[in-house]
Amino acid sequence: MRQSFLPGFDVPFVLVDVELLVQADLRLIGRLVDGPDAPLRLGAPVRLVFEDLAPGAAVPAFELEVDS
Amino acid sequence: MASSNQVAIAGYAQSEVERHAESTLGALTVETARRAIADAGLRVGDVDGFVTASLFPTAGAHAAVDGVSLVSSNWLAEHLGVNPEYAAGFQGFGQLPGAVSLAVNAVVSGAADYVLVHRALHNPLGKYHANPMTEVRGAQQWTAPQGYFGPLSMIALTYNEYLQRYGASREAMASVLVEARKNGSRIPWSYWHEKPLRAEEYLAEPMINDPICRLDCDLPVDGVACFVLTSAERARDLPNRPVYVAGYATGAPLRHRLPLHWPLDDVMEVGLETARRLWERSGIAPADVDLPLVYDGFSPFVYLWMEALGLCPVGEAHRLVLEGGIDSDQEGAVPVLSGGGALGNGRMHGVPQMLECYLQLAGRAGERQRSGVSVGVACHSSPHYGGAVAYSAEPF
Repeated sequence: MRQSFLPGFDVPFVLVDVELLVQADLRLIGRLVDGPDAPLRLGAPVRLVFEDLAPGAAVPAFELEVDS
Repeated sequence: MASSNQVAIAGYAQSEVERHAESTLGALTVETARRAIADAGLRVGDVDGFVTASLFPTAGAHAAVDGVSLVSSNWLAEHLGVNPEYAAGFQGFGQLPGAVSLAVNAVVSGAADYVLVHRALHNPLGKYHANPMTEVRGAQQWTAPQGYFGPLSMIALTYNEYLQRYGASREAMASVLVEARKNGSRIPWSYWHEKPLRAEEYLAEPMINDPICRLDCDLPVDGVACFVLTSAERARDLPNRPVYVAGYATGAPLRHRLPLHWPLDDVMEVGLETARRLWERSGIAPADVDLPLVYDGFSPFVYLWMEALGLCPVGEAHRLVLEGGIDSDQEGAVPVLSGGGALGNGRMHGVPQMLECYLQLAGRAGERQRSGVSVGVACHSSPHYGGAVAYSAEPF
């Protein structure tokens, strides 16, 4: 994302569409904390992390599995 | 389908498509409606049905005001001085096919004899999708805090899946844009009239939401189109050659997803079913269609609709495009954007596809008239949310 239509987002950032291993076909969209230069491909495994946006407000995000 | 070929388009009017019209959207709609009614050989008082889909398709913080940023059926009837027998608005996706289906059913059921279908689109001042909101509720709490907001994020994910899965090139999409703008440049009312695009210009555009650039998106505009629909029998007594509604179909997603999350497999799975319904209900085979006019509000929809309609195998539309397979000037090509589409006219939400079907099948396309066209399909929105209408020059 090089442009955000909502305020408060520093661009660029990367969003990923992730299927959860615990429930096939359940898909979540989140930020990839590795940033825009991370090597990405369809099917790359990621793990869940949380980003603290404000006191008391954390949102799920994703990080590439290191040995992928 | 019981309503097949029972209803026909009898006339139309299309306003200029502009970035910002001089008059309000309401005034432009009243004027365009009057012209369409006259074009059909009728008087305003003859029209007893009004149908639209009034969606103002912005994600931004713009007020939705009837007569200003959108125009409802009731607003239009009132400002034409008509107390209609039937007034309705279609609420789902695939707004124009949905509105046409309401109009067809109103005529077939006898709820109205002459139905005016209109679509009025507005481009508000300021950024179209920018939204200063800092709080979200409901399902958007799972997407907006992540920065996943608005239709560009939506289509960028779907298109990314397509590109990676099928190895499509940016050069292929450049051909789509060049084709849409070539056809749009020949249309007097188009925003892009006499403004064709070169492939190099497309390829030089920076990304907004990778892999989507500005030119992959239709341009927000002010514009209005109106069509008059009536029974096939009545239409034959009116001045223009009738164009019959052979059938329509819409789709619905099979899975619950996050807001604006349109995985490629969802789109195609339902899209193929939407097309199957269309062939079944209209009694038309894919090979009968001379003008399969695909929706292109975002350029990747061109591939998705081409594949859903079976114009090529799934995953191969980009190859067909690159080989000149959709060039409207080439014999044997499939002219999927012959009316310029949204990319070649402006954000008219399915109007260019419907209007091109009408003009070509009624023999009213002027210098752009194609020979030997008798069946057309006008698509709108995504294949898995939207719909399509099949039109025929002859009832069958």
